[in-house]
Amino acid sequence: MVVHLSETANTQEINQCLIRLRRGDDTAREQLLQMARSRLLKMARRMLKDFSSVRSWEETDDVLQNALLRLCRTLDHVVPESTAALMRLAARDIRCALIDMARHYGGPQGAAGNHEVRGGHSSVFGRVVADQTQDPVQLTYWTEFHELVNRLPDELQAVADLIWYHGLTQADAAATLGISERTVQRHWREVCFQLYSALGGIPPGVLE
Amino acid sequence: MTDESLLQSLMDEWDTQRRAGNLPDPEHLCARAPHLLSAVRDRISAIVEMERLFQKQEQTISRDDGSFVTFHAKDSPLVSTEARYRVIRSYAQGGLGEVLLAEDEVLRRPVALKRMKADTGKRSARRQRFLREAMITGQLDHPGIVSILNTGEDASGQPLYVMKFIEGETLAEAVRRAHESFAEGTRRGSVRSQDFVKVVLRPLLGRFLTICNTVAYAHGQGVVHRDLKPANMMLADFGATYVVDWGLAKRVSLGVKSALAADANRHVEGTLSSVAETLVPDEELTEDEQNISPMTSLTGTGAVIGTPAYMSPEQARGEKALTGKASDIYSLGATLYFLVTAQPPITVDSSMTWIDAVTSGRYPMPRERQSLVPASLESICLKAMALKPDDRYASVLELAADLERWLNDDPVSAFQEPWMARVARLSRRHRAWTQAGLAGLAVVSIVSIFFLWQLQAKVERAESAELAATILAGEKSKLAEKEQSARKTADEQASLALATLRSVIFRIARNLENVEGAAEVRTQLLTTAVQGLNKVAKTLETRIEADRALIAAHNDIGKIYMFVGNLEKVNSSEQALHHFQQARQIGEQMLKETPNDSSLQRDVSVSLELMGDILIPMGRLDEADKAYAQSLAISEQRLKQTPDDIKCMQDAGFGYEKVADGLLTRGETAKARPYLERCVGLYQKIVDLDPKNASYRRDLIVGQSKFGNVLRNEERYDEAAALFRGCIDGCKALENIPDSGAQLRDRAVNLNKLGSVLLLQNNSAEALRVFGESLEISRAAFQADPRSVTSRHDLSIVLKRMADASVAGGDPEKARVLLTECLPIRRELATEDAANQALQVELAGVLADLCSLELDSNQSDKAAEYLKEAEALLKGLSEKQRLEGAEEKTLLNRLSELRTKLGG
Repeated sequence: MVVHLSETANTQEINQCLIRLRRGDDTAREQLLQMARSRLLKMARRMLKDFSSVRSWEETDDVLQNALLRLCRTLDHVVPESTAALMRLAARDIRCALIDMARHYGGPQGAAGNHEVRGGHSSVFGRVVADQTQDPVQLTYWTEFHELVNRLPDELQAVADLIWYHGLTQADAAATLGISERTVQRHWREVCFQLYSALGGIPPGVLE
Repeated sequence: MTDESLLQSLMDEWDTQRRAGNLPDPEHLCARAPHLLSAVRDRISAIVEMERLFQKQEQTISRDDGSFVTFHAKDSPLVSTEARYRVIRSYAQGGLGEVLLAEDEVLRRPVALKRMKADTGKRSARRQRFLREAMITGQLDHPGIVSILNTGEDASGQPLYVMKFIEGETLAEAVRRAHESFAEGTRRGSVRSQDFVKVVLRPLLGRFLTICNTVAYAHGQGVVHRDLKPANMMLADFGATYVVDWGLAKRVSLGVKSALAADANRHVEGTLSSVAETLVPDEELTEDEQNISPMTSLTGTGAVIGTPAYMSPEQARGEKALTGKASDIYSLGATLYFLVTAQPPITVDSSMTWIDAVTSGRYPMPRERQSLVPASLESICLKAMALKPDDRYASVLELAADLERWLNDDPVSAFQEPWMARVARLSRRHRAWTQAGLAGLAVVSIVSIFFLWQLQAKVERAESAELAATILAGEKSKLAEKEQSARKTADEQASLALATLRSVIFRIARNLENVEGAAEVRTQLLTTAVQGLNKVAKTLETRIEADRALIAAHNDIGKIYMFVGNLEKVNSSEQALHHFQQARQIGEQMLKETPNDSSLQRDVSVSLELMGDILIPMGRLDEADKAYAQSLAISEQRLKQTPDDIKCMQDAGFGYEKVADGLLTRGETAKARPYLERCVGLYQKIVDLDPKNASYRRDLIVGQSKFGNVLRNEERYDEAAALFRGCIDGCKALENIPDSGAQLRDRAVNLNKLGSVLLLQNNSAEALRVFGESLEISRAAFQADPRSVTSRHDLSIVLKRMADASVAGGDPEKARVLLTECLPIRRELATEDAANQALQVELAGVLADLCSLELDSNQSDKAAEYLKEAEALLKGLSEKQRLEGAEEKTLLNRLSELRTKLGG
């Protein structure tokens, strides 16, 4: 039987950690990072699945490390008010990391083009492959996609973060954001419509 | 209200409806605001497309613990937890659930989603029943039971499962239609009353027999249906027949009763016991389930499961302990009643009167409702519907056997023939007294000894010699019948053991084929199962009577060995050959007594054909050719006797095809041609007689395709290409029917052949395009089932052919890439089945090609490695058997040339 979705991180537990963090309890930061890791790992794998050429030269963990570094730096300066805020920060950081890497390494003009394979080097951006990117259309599409999400109005971006990047149901998203499910449905529809219109549809190959 | 809020409201309405499983029409939605239709349509398109994108992304996400993350589909039309099934429309509604027609977006095929209706309790009776249906159906593996493809929950936690989509009509609908049509026809004078059996009964009974076999299978797996009725029997196109709705099914203990079957079980302990562990203990109705029965309020006591008109007396009385396989037999009898009369046996208004009618057996005889029903058929129906379970057929197989006898115009066991007819039949057919004796199977022996003791006592007590002689004559007849009955029981038990083994072996082989790391376990389990098979096979050798059941058993065992394949300590090929030879010998021995028995002739012909089939991979091609030729001679003789019989035509067609195959393998195209011409002629005749039968059409395509090989070998390339294109189109047409995996593969095969012809015409560009299309099919099949020998083999063939085309097209680099992909697959196949000569030769072929490419690139070392491996392969083969085929000889020459080029 296929299992029903349930998040590995306990939303209440996260909330407790946030309360402790606000009180200056540093151990809560570690705990938050651990809990966030499982969510971020999933998000990273999901995101990398989209970026097939990125995946060819970046291990999931490298992306995760990159995102966690970002999150850690963010937590150093900011204590998220709520689970929703934490999840939105996580989604933003993953999105930015992927866009950065895709811009840097993707495309015929990218650094990855025509380079020899260098074996054994496993730093975050250290591994490149000889092949040119296989999917320039897809890469461009997804880069634009995530950049567009970055520019969505806040209430729409919140829904996109939780549903698209975290895979929550509309009901769970509504509960996390503290709004009605009907509102989430309307926002979700608007997200789909705005992205679809701005991107001019979905190119062939992206849906395959 | 502003347009913006109205638009929002319309989209809210659309969302609500699609979550309920409906797909609202935008025009209908915008009826009160037609100026917003365009905006609504734009939004719907955008949302649907973006959600498709999202679903696609969700499909292969995995968690850290390896299980699948699912998608809550509350907010989209996709109700499946794997987010791959797109609902098209509601298809059917039932008391417990609803069925939706959906599209599997991964495999691009229609599926049926069965979803429970909204229910509050997670542990409610409805939910349990729903889940039980899925579980039981999921554990039954039979072509007559709709397979479950997936299970899950929707966003609200309601369970659902995905099944193969079956389109057709119920038996109830088919029966009504047939009877109404016949009645109309007789009114108009277009059909005669005496055609009732031919026009109405025979076609329906054929389907009913299939249903019986399906139920028999389920009983063999320890499952009783408990709600058999015409509405739960589906008739789809091309003869596919299903028993559906297992929601009331119940598991009983496996309980294999005979010593033989138990013996077989002991020798497959590792497998049957694991099967047994998955069995659910007998399930009785919970209190909740009792409360959902429609009849509880009326009976007041116990629970009643089933549908009144087809319910057995013990079910009507709520006697749970007595409700079992015999109850299903009753329901099948009641269904048969409906089939022959178009009316259910019980038709009453008051439910209390209904219960009385069922429990007392008060219903009209079938011939009272439809006078055209033959008496013998009525008797089958009535025996199945006997009030007491012990008075019914002992098994569904027995019921099916009696029906088959009726269909073959043979006497049925349920019918007491007039005395004279019986004497005449016995004098024609009676052999048992002369052959049985006191030896033979233990069961038969015990019966005989005991009976003869009684007989002796009776004769000794006789008051006169004349009376003693009369008693003796009468008792001899009874003994023969008892022995026949005992032998039949033993046959059934052996059949059950064989069927169990076959099922177990198939399940092991299939289920473990794709499990990584399970190859060794699979081999061990199969070896154990084969030991069980040996045991059953040995019991056959103690049989001294020659009969058709024995021939069938030997052939079956041989086929199972062929399916299992060669294992480490088991030479399945030799075992298979031994059994086919046994079958043939028994058949030929029996033919001496009844040389014109067509069924017996067919048995021998089939055994010979199977011998040929197993001799080929053993490399004994001459013997294979001889076996095929002998098989064909018998088929030709049968065809002469009954030239319009489709089965005879088909058998002869197969025979011509097999002989032609052998000749083509040796390159003897001119000799193969007349055989293929006759083969295709017969197949065409069969298709003309029955154009809707997909299997016949497929046979024709295969025959035409092989004829295309002849044309190609005769260098008539244009004609060959045209024929292959025709075959490809034929395959595409057949791909529209369910289970079209075979047709897809046929298309790939014909694409390969067309590509080869195009290469011969020096049209490498077009050849590459055609091979590319074939490669797509083969890759998809490989990805769907990477461990399948067929999918790997097919993929290796098209890769090799594309490599040939690439070389011809001046692209050796592409050829190298393709061959490099092909090589490990061929190595794997050749290693897994080292006894298969063809696979070794194919591997050597790829090695030779790679050697040649490396030589052209001045990579002598690499070239030498490939050549060495190829030479070693062929040397090993030539030591074991002669390399007779044209391909082998060509390869030998090629290797020799390559050796010369390498300078040594």
